[in-house]
Amino acid sequence: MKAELTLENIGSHRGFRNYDINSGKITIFEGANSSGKSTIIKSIATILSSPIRSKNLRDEANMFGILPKDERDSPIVNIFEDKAQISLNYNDFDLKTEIFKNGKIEINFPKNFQSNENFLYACMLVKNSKIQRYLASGDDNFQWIVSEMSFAGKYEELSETNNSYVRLINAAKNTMADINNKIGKYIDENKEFKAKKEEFERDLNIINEEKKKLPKSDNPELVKFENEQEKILNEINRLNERLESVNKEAAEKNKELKEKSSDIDNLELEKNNLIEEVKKIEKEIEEIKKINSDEEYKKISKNQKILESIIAEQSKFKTLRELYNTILNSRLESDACPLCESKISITKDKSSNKLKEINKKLEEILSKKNQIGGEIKVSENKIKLASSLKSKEVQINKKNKTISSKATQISSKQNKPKTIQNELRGINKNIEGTEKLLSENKKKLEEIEKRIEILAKEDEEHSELIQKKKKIFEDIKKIDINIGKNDELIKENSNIDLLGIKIPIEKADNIIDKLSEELEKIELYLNEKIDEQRIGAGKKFNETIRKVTKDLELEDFDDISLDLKDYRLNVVRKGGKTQPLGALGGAERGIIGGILQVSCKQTYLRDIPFFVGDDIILELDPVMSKKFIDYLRKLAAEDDLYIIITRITNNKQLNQVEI
Amino acid sequence: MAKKNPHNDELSNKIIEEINNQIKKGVNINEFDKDFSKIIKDYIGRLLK
Repeated sequence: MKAELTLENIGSHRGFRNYDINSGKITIFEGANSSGKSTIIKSIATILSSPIRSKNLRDEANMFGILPKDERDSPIVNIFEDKAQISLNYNDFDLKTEIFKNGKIEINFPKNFQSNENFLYACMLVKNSKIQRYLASGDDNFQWIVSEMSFAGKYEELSETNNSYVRLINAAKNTMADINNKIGKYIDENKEFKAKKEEFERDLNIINEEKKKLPKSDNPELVKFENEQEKILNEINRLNERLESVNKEAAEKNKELKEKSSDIDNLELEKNNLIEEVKKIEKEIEEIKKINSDEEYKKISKNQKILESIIAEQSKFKTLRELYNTILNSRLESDACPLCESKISITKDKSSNKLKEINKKLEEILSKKNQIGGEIKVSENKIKLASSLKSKEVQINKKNKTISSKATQISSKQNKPKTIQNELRGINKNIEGTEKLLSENKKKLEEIEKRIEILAKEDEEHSELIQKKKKIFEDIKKIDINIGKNDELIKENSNIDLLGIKIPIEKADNIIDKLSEELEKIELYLNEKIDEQRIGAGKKFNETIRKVTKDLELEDFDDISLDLKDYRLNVVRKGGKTQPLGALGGAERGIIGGILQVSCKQTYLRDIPFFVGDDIILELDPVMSKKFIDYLRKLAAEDDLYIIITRITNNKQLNQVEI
Repeated sequence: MAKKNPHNDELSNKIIEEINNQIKKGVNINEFDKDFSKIIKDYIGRLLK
């Protein structure tokens, strides 16, 4: 078969150039440097590998001079033009790419054509291909082939995303540990403060006892205020105790309320979900009732007849296409049709035009065929849907019964929360009242103590004890402030932020553990897939390498293959000795590179019938070069490939030969 | 009423389903990252309830 390559404004040429390349043979483009040989190779590579999405392959494309580096101009668009075009027509595919000066590439491919960016790895036997670079540097690690040419590379990319979340969760774990340490520290500090406060309160009691033993002051006003002070202190203690108790009661009621409300919320959610499901099924039933099964059966029957006639027409045009293809490839120059006895004028141009018309017609027929096929499918689906009416009605009845039962449960549970809320209201009123009384008493105490201080200055002994009491009150106040600060800090650290969600500390450990567990399962799955893909890809690659090596009849090597554990290239000499890559000669590395490249294409890119190479093949020694070329010719013929290579000559004019 | 725990294995199963979709239609890492983030956030939200 023939491929037509058309280049416009590519490389150093402005305007159009056309090349016809036949499959089943090797096409050699030969000429001096800068005659345009490599441009042809690059053009084929560009069109068959676009669009390039992988970062690694974009780097390869940069290196081959297909995509620009950094912000520079495209390396294949003629420098005097803003854009270039590459068209490749082969095997009924009509491919077009536009390349802009800024490196952007726009593709126009038929829907049934699949390009493959891995063309740059697998189908280019050129000096700076990745395989050649590895061999030249003595790097025997070819894991990248089995990863990138199989789905292993894709799974690896996805694994990196999973790992980023694993790192996030691990960071959250560390943050949790810090927070727990901090909170622990604040709690311990508060314990110490509270113990100190109790000590001070004991000292206060001792002072009060000492005061009682002192003879009463002569000052009746002082005595009156001290008695008042004692009463108020007792009242404050009593109110504090009451406050603690009702706060505890309130906390318990709140907890109970939350639990009861949560039960009701869950039931409501389940009930609402069921109602939605019922609505959805009712809608489906409405649609089903509109279907007329008899009408649909009639439509199917009619469309099937139409389809039969379309298939017959398609077959007729396919036969015509075969006939014109034969004429086109027949090489006969006579004007008589070689297939029948008619004396009609058949020229290659006319045949080519006719073929284009036939292809267009076949496209129209295919489109119609797909349309009718689609209509038949729609009718079949409607009939299937119609038959499901009864089962949907049963479903609705069942769900309605469940909705009813949930509603009853909700109703029965609703009283308890109301009762608890009423009780809470009473408790909160109690708390409010107690706090108000406490505040009033504290204020009174402050005023009385001021008065006592003034009056007691005259009474030395009383004054000393009062000063001591004052100091203790101040110390207790400082402790209360510190306890309050720590309580605030504990509150501030009561949440951890994970992906923008605030998680209460008491739940965070559990949630983080569950997330870690789940992410580990995902990692295991991905690692299994990566290994599975690599091993599968590796096995296939080795089979092909061995076949190619055998077909080449290489006598110097017993085996060339990838180790399936570490994917290192093993080169085993005749006699069984493994040779490191670095110890191989340049020519041997050249032939091994050729074997690996062809094997890569034959294993992983069989659906793209193109293989390109530069004069690397012809730089091997004459015996090996001939062997390899003969092998490629055989491959081209057997698999009907388009094999294009370049050869350097002294001729400034680009020449095209076939072998 | 005994509560069901719908969270068992839910995150990993959903992500694995997403992985298989990406492989089928061609890997788009940005899209995968967005979906991954959403699935984890939904999962955390349900665990908090």
